[in-house]
Amino acid sequence: MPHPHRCPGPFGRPAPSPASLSRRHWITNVAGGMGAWALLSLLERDGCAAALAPAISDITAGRRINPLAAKPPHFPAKAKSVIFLMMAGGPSQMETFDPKPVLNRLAGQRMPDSFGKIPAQFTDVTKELLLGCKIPFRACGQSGLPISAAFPQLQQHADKLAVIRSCHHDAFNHSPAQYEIMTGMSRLGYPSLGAWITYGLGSVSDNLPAIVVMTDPDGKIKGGTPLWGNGFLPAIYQGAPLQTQGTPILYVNREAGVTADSQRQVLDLSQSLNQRHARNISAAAQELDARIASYELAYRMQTAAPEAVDINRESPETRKLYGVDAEPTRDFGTRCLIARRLVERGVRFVQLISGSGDTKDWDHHDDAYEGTMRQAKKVDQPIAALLTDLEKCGLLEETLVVWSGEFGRTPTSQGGKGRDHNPNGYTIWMAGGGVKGGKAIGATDEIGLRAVEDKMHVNDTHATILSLLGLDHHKLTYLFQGREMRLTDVGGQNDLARRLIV
Amino acid sequence: MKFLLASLALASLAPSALAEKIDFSRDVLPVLSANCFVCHGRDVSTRKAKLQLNVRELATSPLHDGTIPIVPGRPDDSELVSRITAEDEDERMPPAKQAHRLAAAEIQTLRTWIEQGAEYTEHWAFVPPKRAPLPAVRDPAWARSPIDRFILHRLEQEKLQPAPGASRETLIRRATLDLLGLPPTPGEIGAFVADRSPDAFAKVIDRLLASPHYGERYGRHWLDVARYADSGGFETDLFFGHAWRYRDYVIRSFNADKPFDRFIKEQIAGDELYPGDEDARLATGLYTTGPVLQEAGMVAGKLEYDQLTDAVDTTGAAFVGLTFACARCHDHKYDPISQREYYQLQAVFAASDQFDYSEDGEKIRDRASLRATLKEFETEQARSRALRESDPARRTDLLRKMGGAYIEIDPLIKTHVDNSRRYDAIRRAITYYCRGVTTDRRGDVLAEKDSDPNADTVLKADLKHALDAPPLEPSEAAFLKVGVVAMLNPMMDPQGLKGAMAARRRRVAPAEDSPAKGAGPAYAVPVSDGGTPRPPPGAKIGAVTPAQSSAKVRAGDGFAMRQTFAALKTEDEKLQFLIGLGRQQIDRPKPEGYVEDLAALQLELGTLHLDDMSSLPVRVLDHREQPLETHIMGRGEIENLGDVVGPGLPEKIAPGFTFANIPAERRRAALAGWIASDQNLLTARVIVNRAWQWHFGDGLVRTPNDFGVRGERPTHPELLDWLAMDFVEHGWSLKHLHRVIMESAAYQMAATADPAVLERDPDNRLLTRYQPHRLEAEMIWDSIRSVAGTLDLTLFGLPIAPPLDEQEQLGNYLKWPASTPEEARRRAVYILVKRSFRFPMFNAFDLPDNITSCGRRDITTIPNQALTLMNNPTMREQAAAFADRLLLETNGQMAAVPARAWRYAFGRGIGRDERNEAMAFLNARGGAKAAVTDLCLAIFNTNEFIYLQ
Repeated sequence: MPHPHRCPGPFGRPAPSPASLSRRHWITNVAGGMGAWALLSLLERDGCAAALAPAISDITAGRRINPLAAKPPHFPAKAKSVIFLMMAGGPSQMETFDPKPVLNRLAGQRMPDSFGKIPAQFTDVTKELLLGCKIPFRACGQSGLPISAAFPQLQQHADKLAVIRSCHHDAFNHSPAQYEIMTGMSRLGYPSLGAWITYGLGSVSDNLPAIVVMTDPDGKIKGGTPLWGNGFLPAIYQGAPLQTQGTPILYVNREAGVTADSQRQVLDLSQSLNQRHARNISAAAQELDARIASYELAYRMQTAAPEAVDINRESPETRKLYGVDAEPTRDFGTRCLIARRLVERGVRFVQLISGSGDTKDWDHHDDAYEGTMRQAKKVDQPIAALLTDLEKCGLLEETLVVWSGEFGRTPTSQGGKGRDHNPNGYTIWMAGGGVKGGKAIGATDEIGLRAVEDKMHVNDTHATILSLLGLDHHKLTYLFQGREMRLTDVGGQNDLARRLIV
Repeated sequence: MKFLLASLALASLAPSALAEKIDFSRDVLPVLSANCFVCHGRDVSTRKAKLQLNVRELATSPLHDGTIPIVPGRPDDSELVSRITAEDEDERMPPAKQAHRLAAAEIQTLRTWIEQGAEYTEHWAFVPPKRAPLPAVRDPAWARSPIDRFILHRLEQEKLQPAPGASRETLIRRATLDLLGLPPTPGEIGAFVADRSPDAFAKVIDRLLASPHYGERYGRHWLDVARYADSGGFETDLFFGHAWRYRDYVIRSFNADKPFDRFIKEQIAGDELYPGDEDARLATGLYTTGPVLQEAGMVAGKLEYDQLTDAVDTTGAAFVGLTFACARCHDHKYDPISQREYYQLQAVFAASDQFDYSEDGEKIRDRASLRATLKEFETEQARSRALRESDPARRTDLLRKMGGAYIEIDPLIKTHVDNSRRYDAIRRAITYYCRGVTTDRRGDVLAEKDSDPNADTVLKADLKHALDAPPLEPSEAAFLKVGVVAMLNPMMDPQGLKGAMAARRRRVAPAEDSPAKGAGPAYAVPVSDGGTPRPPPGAKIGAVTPAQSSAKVRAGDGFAMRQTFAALKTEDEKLQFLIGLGRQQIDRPKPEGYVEDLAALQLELGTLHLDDMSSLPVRVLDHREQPLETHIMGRGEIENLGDVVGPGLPEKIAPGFTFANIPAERRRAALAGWIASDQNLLTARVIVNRAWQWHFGDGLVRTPNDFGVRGERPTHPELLDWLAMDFVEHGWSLKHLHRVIMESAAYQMAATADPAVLERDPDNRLLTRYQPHRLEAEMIWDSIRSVAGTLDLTLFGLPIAPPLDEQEQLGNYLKWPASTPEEARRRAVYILVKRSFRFPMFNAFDLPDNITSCGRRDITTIPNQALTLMNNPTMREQAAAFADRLLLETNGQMAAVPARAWRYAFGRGIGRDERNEAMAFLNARGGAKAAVTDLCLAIFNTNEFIYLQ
């Protein structure tokens, strides 16, 4: 929890300090019941809600305080929002961002015993033959950062990317690994990265959800809805799945045949009854006021959400940049473009998922070469466009873009061309959000089997992301089942943020 | 900061605590545990500076540098005080990197406590309950029950007034929603308001407690505690065909007012304690319904370890009110449970495993043998066959259970095979099925996976529910039915799982002895895809010509079969195809070997259709031949095996308890006996506290699953003890407890509070009023249908799955098996609970995660809730039904509609202003049915409708 600090009140008066007057008292008396929420919103925009930052007990008890109030970070932040690009299925590090010449040399042979053994899902790495990478790498940009030819457009952005090649965790099945990446734990029931960040920083959007998720159009993803769930945090921190066409957010569209006017009248009637009710039920007046306010927010979302996803408002040049009118970039390009629009509108965390974790997307058991080339074609141009566009809009500096799968793949082959799951070494990259690109941090061993240098457990990755957002992962805690829970559990010691920003 | 606030709040509730004597357990322990015990508590692995503050003897002894942490009576000589007040950041405790700093008031508390002699007293929950005399009060007329004496005594001390009594209309609405989860009917309200007898409310309580719907409401409370779900979660999200039996057991037990100690014993050890008692056996379903990660390539033993972990953690939270889970990776930092003791608790469960029984109580198979089966698939086929042949008993067993032809495994077909009424249903289903196939969005065969499940869901539902039909030649109907089932059964694929496993491993063409050898290309069906067949590479729709009849499609070539079927043009052709297929199935020689095993495995994987559940076995706890060896696991990791431990209970809370003379098959009975004993310090308090919370929204202890040091202290400790002892004395009767609570003045207060009271008692910890709270998700769902007159109150049975559209299913990896609209009218407690996909409406309204025991649901306010109630198509549909009802009951007299609507929705008469407003609304919208529907929708969107007040 941030430390409350004094700041000017809404009318130029200093706000009373929490010690002299409880927040609740202050809200009740200064805001006078009705409209407390609205007043809070005003304060938030002025960045003065620190003294009003809700206590957890208030949030869990559902009490009267807007738990999405913007909160100051623990220390100055580099990034304000995150676009998390998740390649579900587990892209191969060797075919993308972690060149392995030694592996290519040893291709076709058994793995030398010196590399040891890892558990994999279907194969035994000590018995399979090493598989070389057929995709050439090129030293790109000023920095010479090597990126494979699967990402020709991203190669142009090498100087923006900080590649971390030493990531690892412990889950080698898709859904537990996806939970690792998105919640820091391989088990079910934990809050997502976006939930923690929003819990720490609040939301700056008036009329859009703080956490937005975009899956492939069929909506399927192996880990399911817990990947953007609130876990044990209050439901306000759950991610909102967003569709790129039709009704963007569940139930955000009026039913067919219902006009805005007509709905407004229905809402006016219920709000009028609600206000009378709130006056009668004095014991819960503030909570009831918050519900009244939530209806107004919902009403605004009905206009704001369709506007936010309406890429027809974008110029032809921009549409072309992202490839939204062509295959195979249409789907992911559309989502990347919407991601930029969402971040522009104050959405804190955009979780963009490519694939579901199937062999038809990023799970290349059958053919690592063909699979990587096929999938990269879908996302390369859109991601490059996103970086270009964010930079052009001046948003890149404050928007952290993260690219990750749920794990990497084995250097040994599966069935001759494919690669099996491998959480012992995988690569992610970050760009924007204060990250200085053109560098690679950490390393796997010579064949890419496991991370060996500057090892980054998924807890460390999360600590780093929080750090870039100005949050101390030790201090971002929530009491659950008698324990101060953290996104990083008991890990996160290897916070790389300092090395990423120089 | 939150602890700071919490402890300040508590301090403010302890009048004159600071001025008078500091109570260690009440005032000091919360501060020490929140700030110091992580490094200076019980857990030796993280202990710093060899300093231990949780034991007086150690805290008052010199450290290695000669300083003494606590010098009783001399705070200025105590190192603890100098460190917590140090100016130097490096010196100061707690260290800066910790989330919390000590507040001035907390430092003062510690100083004063040391000054007063630094006495350590026991944590309240580990002190035996005492029956305190009923406190004297100045207003005995208000205090009509013993409960009220405790409440009022406290209020009088604080010079606060209780709120006035609630109106009768409020009271019956509160009681009915509370006990049944449904609003009262206008008739019930009228009768109660008119009943002037002194026991009028007591009669209402009795009536409600006698209702079978009480069990649905209070059973749902328990299902939260039991982290109930119908599937295992993760990618496979294994469907539990058995979970609903446990759910129904819970509902029945609440309805029967089963003594709660018995209820506890049955769940932990029903099989051991009450052999032959069907219900008691079902009760152990508590332990067979937890999350399951079961996928290919798992570390050996992980499944068992996960199950033991779930068993111990759930037991601790649900019955004992302690966070056992904290001691899995290290000694508990706050409560007296060592890591060794945690694994001793696992050892209690290690003699047991999950077993499947047929409905008549015969053991069918156990997970161990299923795992063996799975292993078989992973070995060479020849060896697998030899193995099976060497074990004729098991093979016969599987054959008998699973049947040869599919007709044997589907009781639906078996029972109704000659029921010609179904013919028409099937005809209609075929139409749906065709549509499913033709709505191929991508134009390639991969789409079959997407279109198939929906089609077969509709088909199955139709099969089950359509009743009107012209007669048909019975035998043909039978063939048709078998054909349809065969068509839908993914295991018709001969390669199936076994072939897939082999192929995946070796990347070879069809297995040696596969019937499909030479008949077509092999393709893989990985376990992780839930057994959904995948087409051969390069296959395209229409690859099989329409001319090919079903007879020519090789039995079991599922993919080709579907392609053929899809390519047929007329319904008659399709019908003939299916009849032919059915005939072929029935005529087929009993399959050899692996086909049955595939069915068994599929059963295990939970991919059998929802409708087939009645044929699914009951999964309960029983005993292993040999208990698993239980190791302490370093950091809770299965790779770090430590000492082997035997069964045991934590010494502190079960002093002297030994398993020395208890046989392995009585371990759970011993645990249950200890937990559900009248002597247990915790259990009865935990239960009465839950009941209090279920009635009031908050418990006397506001952390219902944690009575340990880090939990909150009771607001009224003497009342908690009084209730616990009264509960035990009255045979652990929950219905008795309900009466005691509900007949109190405390329960019957109005939901009003003036600003001064709100200022003094913002969280209602003193019980100055009835604190209103929003209805839970299920109550909102049920209330809407109840007032609309569309609620089907049928009790019990298989889960239902109200149909969801594509967008509502975003994120759902597996299929949502939509029920028929008729089924969707049932109460919310029967709606399918999947762990990897949350039912959208409930997700918006704070459904617990069902992964670990949930003692108390969050109540949040989020715009998704408003969006759901405004725009979810079900809401308008129900509003229309409510409108129909109102118009019917008022003979279409628009002027009478609002008052009637108010009666149903709010359980009270309509105010004049409200009536004017409602009439103006209706008139402005033309006063037709559509206007009434809109009025009803507005009502669904009011706070009053979804609040318990």
